[in-house]
Amino acid sequence: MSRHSAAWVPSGIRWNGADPMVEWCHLGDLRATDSFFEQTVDRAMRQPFNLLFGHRTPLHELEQAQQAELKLAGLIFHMSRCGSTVVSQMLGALERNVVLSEPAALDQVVRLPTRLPDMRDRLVPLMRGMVAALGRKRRVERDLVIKLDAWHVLLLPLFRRAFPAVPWVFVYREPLEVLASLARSRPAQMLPGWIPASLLSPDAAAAAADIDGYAVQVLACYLRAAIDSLADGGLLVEYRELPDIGRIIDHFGLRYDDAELGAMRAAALQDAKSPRVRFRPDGAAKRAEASEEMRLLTETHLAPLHARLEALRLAQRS
Amino acid sequence: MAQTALAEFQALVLQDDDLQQDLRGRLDREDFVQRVLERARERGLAVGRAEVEAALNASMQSWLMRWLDR
Repeated sequence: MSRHSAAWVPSGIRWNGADPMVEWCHLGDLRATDSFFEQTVDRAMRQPFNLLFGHRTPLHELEQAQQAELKLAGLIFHMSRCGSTVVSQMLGALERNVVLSEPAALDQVVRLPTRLPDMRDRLVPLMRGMVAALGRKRRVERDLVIKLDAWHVLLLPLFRRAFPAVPWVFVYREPLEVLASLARSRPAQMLPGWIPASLLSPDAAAAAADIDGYAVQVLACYLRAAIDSLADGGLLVEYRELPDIGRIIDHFGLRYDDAELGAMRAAALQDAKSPRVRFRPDGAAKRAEASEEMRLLTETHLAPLHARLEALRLAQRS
Repeated sequence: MAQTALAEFQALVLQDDDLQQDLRGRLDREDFVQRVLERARERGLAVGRAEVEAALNASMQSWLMRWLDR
């Protein structure tokens, strides 16, 4: 059917009463080069064609398509505000790569059980089906890389069941800098109640009344989750390593020539989330604006986990 | 329930890559609506301008409100 031509991609899951439906959007010639896939989809969805011919199909139909046409080369997990978008922008600079940054449709699949608990047993085929639908070959692309939402690191065992052969990385950063960035603009995931309590520690539930304290506990859960699954196909990447992504490229089994590496380095010169702005290091500014309470919380709850990650990363490098 | 002419045309477009390509190229809304009406008429479907405009508006509103439905 024509609607299954490769340029039709899932923009998200919508609901027809209690029935989840995939909403399809025609990307046309748009490449997913925005900082987040949602931005690319938004540009497409506002075109008259998608407004009139965007359509929905039952979610369960995705379970029939299990293999992406593009090779799913790697998954990028991260603790948020840590340089993961730099990585996705660099890899996405090459036309041979499709890099989807936090695609809402995949996030909605893994969140289905919060609305439909019976979906829990169908998540693996649905995740594969959604990735297959997102990873269609449109032109010269070969490899697919997906940068996930930060909270997905809490679902790492589920992602491993869905994609057991796919290597993954976890990107992290000095926690005080992350915390200061989260205080500047707080994503929904950092608001109490958004992440299912069953995925978080009792300490997170106890800290729900304190917005910074809660963020610290959520970050602690992220870091612990990465440590717990590390032996199962994971690679640790610290912010200070960037924009050198050589270890990530190797880990994903990708090979690039000098021109391609140069194109990726050029992409790293721009601010990953404001591509018209040249990148400037901001770690010192972020540390300077952190409150005394943030410093104490970080020192107590996050610094030991960060140190553990650093030890594991250095062991991986040696 | 009988399908409207617009619904019939929408289903037809989803089956026809060439027609999709023809309509996708119309990024200007007025230009797009005009082309939709022409292409529907060529296929014997009496699609009304008001019907198309209403569908575009409803779809844009639904997209902008998507977070409430997710």
